[in-house]
Amino acid sequence: MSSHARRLQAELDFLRDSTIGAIRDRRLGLLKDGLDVYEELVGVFLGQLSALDSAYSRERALREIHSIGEGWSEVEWIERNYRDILDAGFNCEDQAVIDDVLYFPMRLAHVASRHRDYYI
Amino acid sequence: MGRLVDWYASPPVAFVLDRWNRKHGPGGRLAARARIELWRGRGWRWRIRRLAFRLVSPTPSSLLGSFVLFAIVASLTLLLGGSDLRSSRQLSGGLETMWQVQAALAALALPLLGLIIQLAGEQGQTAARTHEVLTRQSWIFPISCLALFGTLFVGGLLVWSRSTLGATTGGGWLTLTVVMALLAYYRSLRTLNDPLLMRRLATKLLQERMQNSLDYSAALRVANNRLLAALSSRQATYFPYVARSDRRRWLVLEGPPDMVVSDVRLGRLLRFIDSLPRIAPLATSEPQASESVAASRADEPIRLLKVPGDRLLLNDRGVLALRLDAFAPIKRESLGSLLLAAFDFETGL
Repeated sequence: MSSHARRLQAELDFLRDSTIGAIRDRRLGLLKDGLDVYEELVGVFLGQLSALDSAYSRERALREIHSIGEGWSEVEWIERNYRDILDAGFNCEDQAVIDDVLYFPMRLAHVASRHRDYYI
Repeated sequence: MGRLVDWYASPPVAFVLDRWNRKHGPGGRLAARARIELWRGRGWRWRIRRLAFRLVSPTPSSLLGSFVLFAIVASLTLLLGGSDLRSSRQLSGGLETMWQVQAALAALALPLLGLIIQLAGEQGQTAARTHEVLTRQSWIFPISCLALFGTLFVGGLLVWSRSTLGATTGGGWLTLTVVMALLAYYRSLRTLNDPLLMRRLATKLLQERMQNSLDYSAALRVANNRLLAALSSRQATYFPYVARSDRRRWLVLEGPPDMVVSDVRLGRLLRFIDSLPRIAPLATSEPQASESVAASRADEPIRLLKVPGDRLLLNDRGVLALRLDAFAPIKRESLGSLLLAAFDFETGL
């Protein structure tokens, strides 16, 4: 793993902890900010693929997702973080929080469809 | 073979390889060329933005940039200005005052700002820590370098070159440092007092880091594409990617025990494969390793394969697999050193 990847992983851990902290403290503004940042990061990923003329078609996305090889680490980290955030959201039993967190994949799907990407 | 492995594992070589892989990750050398080509494919705006990102943060590039600026200005001033030790008392006094102001900036004003940045509490943004955002936004590190080098510069002028050109250059440097220090205070305090700006900058910082990481990942994938395309055109493959059920069709060449492949030297590896006896000559129309990134991208842009080093930890020692129906009988024992020269091995990553 490159030093850039390690640094990004540490930063994503910080983002996840901040977002989970916001859920625990019922700070909806901060939670929205955290989820916005994740959405922006997914946008950066898809922008990078577009810049390389490599947006995932449906077939390629399915092949990559179902392969035994690893996918993009950056996306995996975001996915893992989201699972933790989702757990924290369900634990807090606050409908506003759960709504925000549950709706998040739809936001990502919207970003992906804007970039004509099937991987996300 | 054993001696070669020892050489690879010797402390100085291991140290250099370790440094390289810490920076670039396993497969770094293989990916370096792809990274350069991807970098060249980007526009100037993108490159300048990337350079600016490096220069304003506390990085070796920032330190080196400040030093280079200092070295150029100081050398030119000393060379062109000459030295006139009988210069007026007014000139000497001016230089002394400049030195004091520079020293005060370097020793008091900027460290104070550094302290303010470190003590600033979290401002309610989630993307990055406040002090990280402020350190970048204020450019405090390159400005501190400028101030410290400025103190050295004006001090040097006082001792060696009390010329009018020296005083003018020293004055110019001082003015630049003062303006930059003021800018640093302005940008830091403005960011601290504007939560929206703080959030935007924190997000931008994380986006830049995401971009950096993606650049490396993409280059590694392009390099893997190139490796596999070149190997498959020669009826060979990188062993860890051979399916277990398919392994009877392959002659497996092994790496040294208790080590992992940390990098592949593609040129050497291809020369090695080309030197092996074949049953039938290779068709020349098949793709070669020198294909451009663009061509390999057009074929199949991003492969599902990743870091060479990761897989060998999980598998056995095989590094290269040759199709049994393509190569004449080969004595594996005689190939060890040639094969090893095509890879970098490490005791662990």
